[in-house]
Amino acid sequence: MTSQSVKIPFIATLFIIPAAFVVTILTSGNERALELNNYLFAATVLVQIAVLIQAFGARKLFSPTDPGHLTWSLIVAFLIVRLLVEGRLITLTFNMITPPKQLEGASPLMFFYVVVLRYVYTISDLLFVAALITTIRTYKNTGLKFELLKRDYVYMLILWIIPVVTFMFRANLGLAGMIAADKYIPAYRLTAVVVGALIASLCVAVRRYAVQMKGGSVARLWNTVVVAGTARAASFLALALLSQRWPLVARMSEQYLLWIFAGCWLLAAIYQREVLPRAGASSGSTSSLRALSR
Amino acid sequence: MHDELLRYLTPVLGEATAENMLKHYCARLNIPIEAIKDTDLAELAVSMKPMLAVWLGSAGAARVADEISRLGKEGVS
Repeated sequence: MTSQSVKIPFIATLFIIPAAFVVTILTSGNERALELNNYLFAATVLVQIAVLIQAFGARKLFSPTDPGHLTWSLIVAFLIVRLLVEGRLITLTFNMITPPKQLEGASPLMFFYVVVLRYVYTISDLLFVAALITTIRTYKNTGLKFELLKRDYVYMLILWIIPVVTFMFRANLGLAGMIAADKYIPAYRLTAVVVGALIASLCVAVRRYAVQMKGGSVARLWNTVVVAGTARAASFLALALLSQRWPLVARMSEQYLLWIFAGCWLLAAIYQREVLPRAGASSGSTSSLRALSR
Repeated sequence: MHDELLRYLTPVLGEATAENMLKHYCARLNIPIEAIKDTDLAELAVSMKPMLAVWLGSAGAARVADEISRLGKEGVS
């Protein structure tokens, strides 16, 4: 799998998916559009499996003593935990497991499965946060000039408005989602949006350091991770802002942003593997660097 | 040689990082940055390896360092 073979189809989907949603709503109605949304969710999970495979490959590039090894180990852990909990959501979305309408009357096991296990997403997001922190530390430890600017702190401050806005619109948080909402979901979504703001704030720092590199394949990789992190954070904001007035649009926007999140992670993992041309491409002399510098 | 090295490193590390890294290691090894000689490359490559490993991993850094050293031996065409 190469970045070129992924990038163009992925960019195409960014236009095709919204168009497909609009056409489906206009021609087949909301129910069919929701079905389409569920298929997009299933496709997103498949992409995340591909991301995990690529992330394992990226991790292998680093020996255990390299700082990148810890970063990619955390990313692999984040993806594994996330995929596990996506499995839970698949069973609920496609009615493999049907929870009772009133969760209060559900068995403890069902309650645990539906309500408690959703917090595993938060655990996976915290692993993503840890990966971003190790990346920032790695940049700083080089001793080269990587610094945040004043405006980055302003951006971070603006990002922390997201949880505040979400809190203000908290009445919307239980209204829409992949599965039937329950009264416990607003608390989870508020938690998620706080972690999302944390992810986005750290992405601002990583983005600044990547910009300060002034190009190069390493910066391209971390810029892509930043887009993934921002899309993840934005998915919760979309849900909070749009649920009450346009519940269908809210669900679609959330899933579309998660598609961007998965696609960008796939590209980022491939970019890490492509930072240097394959060793086989070199004839044993300076050819691979020469190839790069052309 | 400075420009050649920059041209090699920039596609991976970016223009600013490649320049800063060269400055950093040339200063550390007391090599005048505008007058890097072929004979300096092996030493420069070895000292840059740990920082290259940060982004490329040890194996990738060793490869790049090896290729930079070879530049010194082969000369730049």
